Amino acid sequence: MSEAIVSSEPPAPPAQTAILPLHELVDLKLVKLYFVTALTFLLISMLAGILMALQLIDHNPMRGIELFSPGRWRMLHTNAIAYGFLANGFLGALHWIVPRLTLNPVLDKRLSWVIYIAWQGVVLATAIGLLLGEAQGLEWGETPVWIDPIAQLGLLLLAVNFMPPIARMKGPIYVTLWYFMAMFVWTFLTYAMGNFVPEYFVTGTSAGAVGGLFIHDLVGLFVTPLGWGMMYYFVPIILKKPIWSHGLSLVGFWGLAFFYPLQGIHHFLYTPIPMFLQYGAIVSTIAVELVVTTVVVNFFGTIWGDGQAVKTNLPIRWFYTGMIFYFLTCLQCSFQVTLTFQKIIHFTDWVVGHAHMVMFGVFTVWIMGAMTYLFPRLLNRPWYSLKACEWHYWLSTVGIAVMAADLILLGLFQGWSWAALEPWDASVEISHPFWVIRVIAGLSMFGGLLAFIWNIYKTWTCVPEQPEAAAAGPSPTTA
Amino acid sequence: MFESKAGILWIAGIGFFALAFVSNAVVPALMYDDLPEQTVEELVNANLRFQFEDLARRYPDSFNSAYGEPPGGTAEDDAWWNETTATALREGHKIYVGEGCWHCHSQFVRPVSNEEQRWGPVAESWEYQNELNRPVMFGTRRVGPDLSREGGRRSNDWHAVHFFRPKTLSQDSPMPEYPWFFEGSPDQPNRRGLAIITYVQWLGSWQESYPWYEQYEPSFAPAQKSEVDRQESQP
Amino acid sequence: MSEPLRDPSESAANPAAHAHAHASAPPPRSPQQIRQRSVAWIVTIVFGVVILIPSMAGFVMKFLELIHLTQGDPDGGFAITPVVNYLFASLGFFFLLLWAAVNGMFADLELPKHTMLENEAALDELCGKGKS
Repeated sequence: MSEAIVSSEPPAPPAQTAILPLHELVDLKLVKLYFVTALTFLLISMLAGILMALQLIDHNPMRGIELFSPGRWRMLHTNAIAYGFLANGFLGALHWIVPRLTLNPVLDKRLSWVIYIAWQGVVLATAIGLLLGEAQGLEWGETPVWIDPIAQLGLLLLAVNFMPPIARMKGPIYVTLWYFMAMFVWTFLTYAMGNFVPEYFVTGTSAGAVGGLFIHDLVGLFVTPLGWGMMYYFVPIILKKPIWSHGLSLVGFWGLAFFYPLQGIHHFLYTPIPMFLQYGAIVSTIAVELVVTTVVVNFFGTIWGDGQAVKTNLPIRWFYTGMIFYFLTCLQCSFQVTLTFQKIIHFTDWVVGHAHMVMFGVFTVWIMGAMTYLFPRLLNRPWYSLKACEWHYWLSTVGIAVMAADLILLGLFQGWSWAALEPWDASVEISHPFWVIRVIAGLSMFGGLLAFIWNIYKTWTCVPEQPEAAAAGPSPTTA
Repeated sequence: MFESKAGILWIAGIGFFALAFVSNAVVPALMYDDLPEQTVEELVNANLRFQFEDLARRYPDSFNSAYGEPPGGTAEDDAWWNETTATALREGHKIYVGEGCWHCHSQFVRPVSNEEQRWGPVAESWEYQNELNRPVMFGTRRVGPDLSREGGRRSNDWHAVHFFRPKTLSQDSPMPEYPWFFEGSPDQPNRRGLAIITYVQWLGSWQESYPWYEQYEPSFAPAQKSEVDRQESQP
Repeated sequence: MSEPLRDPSESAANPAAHAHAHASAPPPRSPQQIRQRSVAWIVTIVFGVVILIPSMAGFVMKFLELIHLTQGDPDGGFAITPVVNYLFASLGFFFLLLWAAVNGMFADLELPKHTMLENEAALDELCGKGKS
């Protein structure tokens, strides 16, 4: 396993002379660990979401217990998703993708482990802090203030670890790496801006502007670049054909860079924030929809002619489902950001539906696709049950589609009820049936996750390891 | 770098970008009119003091064990009350954040969607220029009503019962119960209960139109106003 | 502006032709190719004008509106915090962009997508697993 690769392809890529053995390139154990951790946090987060949903329909089984206060678990729900599930899932994927794309290992493997442990410390401390009522009053950044510097350091180390393999590359850089490089810088800055500026430096309305920027940039500059970077890597290698147009993909990247960061204020339209800033946010939000269209066109151009893959290849199906949701979310966004829509839908469940469609329908779905693709490779075993994989897919996607549609519709009803000056209770009353449907949809998504976890467990323990892989690759240790 | 479509697009992008910066950063910097940020001590006003002293009258045992008793003497008492109200307000804010109240209750009134009629005067910048809006408590979702004009609308014991078990007062409320703000029953709020009630009673207490009732008529006799209020409302 | 604007799908459909195009100097062009090239340029310029003129007009109008606002609204100053943050983040990007361009990152837009597939194939082969 130590021989240099004798490349058989006719035009040797300029950057590459010899490839490191795979086990030196990719830390498989760490990728596995990241994925398992991510799924654990997703499980916790979904339980938290179910708890809050049950509270809304008045069936909370944990009533009146301080540590199970739905208000606190609501914050745990979003933070566990953002920092526990998405961050860990993406980090696992990064440890696979970056070395394989650059053919260079990360700066230091020990540093990778330090980051892993530190990050779990951050997430666990956040969870405990939130449950003890120590939250910071910043949406998506409720991490107690004393954890913020540690998380900031972790993000810095992450960049230190991952930038060298990219920097060592020669020749033009693939779009995935553009997204990732940007993400390392963006996330660091976004986190600093969101968590420190409104807490220590500015107050009142201007802090609101920063808070809005933070909420939005966390999605747009941390999660989105990672998600699309992942797609630009996995889709071509699974379809075994290059992306339709690399130039267009770079347009998408720079478009994101230039239009995304200005949008934050669209979370606080009609606040006392000056109107011209609100207009600016609205215009750039609509502009980003055009950028999104180029990206989506590029991917559909890639799969053109291979449409069958959506039926036969499960990861591809996950990925393209996520892309459709992404397009829908962004389309919805370019409508909901207008002042006309804001009058009605602001403060309603429409926004909650939108957020779920992004966070679950797009990014969770993509990570699930990546995990469906990678777990057999990480474990050197085929899936124990393809049927369970199918169940996972259908329960999750049908669940999120129902939930998003249900909440978006409900948002309109709530908004109209409020505008009509009906008594407040009326808006709660009309919400009730929708909230019941939301619980059912949520349970369906939860069921999908359970099927997936069961399948991973069975694959890990019941399927024999493939012999030729064992001979070639590193031994996959069972954790 | 000029030979590709993408190249031209992003060069144009940077041009606009630079222009956007000049217009958005330099100009506001020139016109920056800094409103002084108020401390919690400065936020204590007569309306809030009234509510806080009312808490002491209604729940004397709970209050004494939480905050003690005024030292005696007119001037000393006054200073003590102001100080203690500020302490309670600060703690109440921490609880409001820690319990995630702000995820279901907003704190700003928009100029649209008939909100002025339901909640009261439209939110203005100066209202948020204080220590308790670090980070700002605008909120993004209204499962329950907006709270920015809630102060004085309901009595302290209404809030106590409501925090203890919301359903006793509003039948279909999905609001969670907060028995840990009490020592077993709604007439025995603990330190946290007193603090959160103080915080809620503070919201909107700086307004001319305090207390704001739904379908408020401007001819309503104006409530007592303090010096602080008058100063605040004319920044 | 020495290279013709290439249709992105052209090289995607035919990687071999793509590789060839970059292995050697550009082949001599026929008059028809030159005409196609100028048509492509005209279309690009027309689109550029169509996009830039209204956006410039909109920008100038908004800018004038802003100047009016500065004379009246005391809240305008709140703009500064997010923008300064934004400025820092983007300045870094601007330099990264320049650096990338100077290093020729955009000289051959379509090369990396082939390289990455080749790397992946090589890695899979190395691993002894022909994934199908």
